[in-house]
Amino acid sequence: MLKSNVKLGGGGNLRKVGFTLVELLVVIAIIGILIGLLLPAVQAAREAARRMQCTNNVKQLALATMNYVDANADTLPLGQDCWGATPGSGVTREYGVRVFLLPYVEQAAVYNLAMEYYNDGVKFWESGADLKEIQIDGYQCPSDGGTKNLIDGYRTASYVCSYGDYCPKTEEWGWVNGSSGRTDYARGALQPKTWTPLASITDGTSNTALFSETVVAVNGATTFKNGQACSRSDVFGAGTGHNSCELSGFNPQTCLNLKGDTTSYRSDVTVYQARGKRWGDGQLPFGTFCTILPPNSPNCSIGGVGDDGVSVRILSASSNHSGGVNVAMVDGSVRFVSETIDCGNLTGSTIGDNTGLCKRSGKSSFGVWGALGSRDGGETDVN
Amino acid sequence: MKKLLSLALACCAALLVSTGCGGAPQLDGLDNYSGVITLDGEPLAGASITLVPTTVGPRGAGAMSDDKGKFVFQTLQAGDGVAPGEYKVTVTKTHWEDAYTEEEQKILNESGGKRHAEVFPDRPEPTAVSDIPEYYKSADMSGLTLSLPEGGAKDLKIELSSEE
Repeated sequence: MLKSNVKLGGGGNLRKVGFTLVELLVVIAIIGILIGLLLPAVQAAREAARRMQCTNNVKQLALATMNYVDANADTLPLGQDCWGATPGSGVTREYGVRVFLLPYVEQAAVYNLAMEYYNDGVKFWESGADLKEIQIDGYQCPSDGGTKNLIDGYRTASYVCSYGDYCPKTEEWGWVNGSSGRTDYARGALQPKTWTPLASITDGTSNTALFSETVVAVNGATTFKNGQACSRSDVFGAGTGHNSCELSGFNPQTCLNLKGDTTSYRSDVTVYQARGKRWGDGQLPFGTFCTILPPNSPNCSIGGVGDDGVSVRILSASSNHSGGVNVAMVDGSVRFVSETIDCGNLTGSTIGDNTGLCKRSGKSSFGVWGALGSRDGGETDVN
Repeated sequence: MKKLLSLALACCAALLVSTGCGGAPQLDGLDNYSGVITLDGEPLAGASITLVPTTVGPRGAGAMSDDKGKFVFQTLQAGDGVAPGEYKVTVTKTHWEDAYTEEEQKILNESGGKRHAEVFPDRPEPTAVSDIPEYYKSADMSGLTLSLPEGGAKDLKIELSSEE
């Protein structure tokens, strides 16, 4: 039924019944405030959904690894590949674990394409745009807006594999470095150039980290989460060798000191954009992390600006989730690891011990975080 | 009308209350400590200082000095502070000799992972050279200690000497 807004008043004059302008404005203001109240909640819900998606992605990678293990004589895939079946061939293709898991994440077509390049002896970074630019949604964390972009012609990937509580340096590119034997080393679930047997994960598959995340490199915007501080002789001592993290000059706290504020490096730090760049590349800054500095810490390298594959590094897990990162264990479970996790004493060697913090065997120096990284440290305090 | 206004005010207050919290986890029990580091009485810029805990309890911490030798200790985040207690101090300050030029770095990067000697057979490798005596790097040999009192401090002094 239609009602008229206009009534005849006593004196026969027209009198309008309705809102004054002020009343209307007040109502609009109240509605605005109510929406303002609601909006943060909506945004938080959206971020929670993205985080859940991100958690699921990293879990799928861990499950894919388990399927790989089942299909490949109980060994985990290579963290980084080299090519040529015979040790000493001195050639590598630098493909990373994210390529070897493709058939187990329903991406067999992409895998076949990658293997065409691989078998032709083409490194991942030398391959064509048809491979370099392929977007695999499951390899990107929706909480990180930077993954929408190509960087230097490469698609990025958010998930990085664990090399454990050690700073590896994939020195040389063959299976064996000349006659001196293998000179790189990793203590995590995955290793460069070596298939880890499942049986060698003696700390237990639910206590050993497999994959975590990194905030990916973005052109023109550097944070300590996606950038890598270069030429840090104060972190690694004067040592540039593959084992400099085992020497007394190694001081991870010095890398932590490079945080200038809550997001950036100090202004006097030289930074290279490296993390997560090149989705299929297994080289250290693109595809790996180590459990030395806590989540959302800076990354440091002894080498100069650039990809410089023969540089020893601290690479940290990082994310845009509030307060920590997702970590998938070898058994496929996913934990959220806080930035304040116990990392032991990061300030270098102390009393009566003139060696560096990184160890090749035994209990990790880096607290619970280091214990989660090592596959055979024998730690008992990870829960 | 007044009712409407008071309602609007109440909404504003609710908005302010609801948006205050959240953010990264923080360590408890930290205080703020800052000071100046000198070498032979002159401010030492760009020095990396670490606090090595002498007991197992607290975490380590550190800082880098600015142009005027000033430093502010941090544990995990810039500005979060340090747990009070006794610490040994180490100091590192180095510069690179024979550092690569941008061009050389590019050549090395594009060599596909070759070592220095293969790419530049006639050129010395870059080396990090210490600007202060090497023993300041070691917690046991530096001879430097700091006792951080409860409640923080702003006037810490770390005095180095270039005499070996």
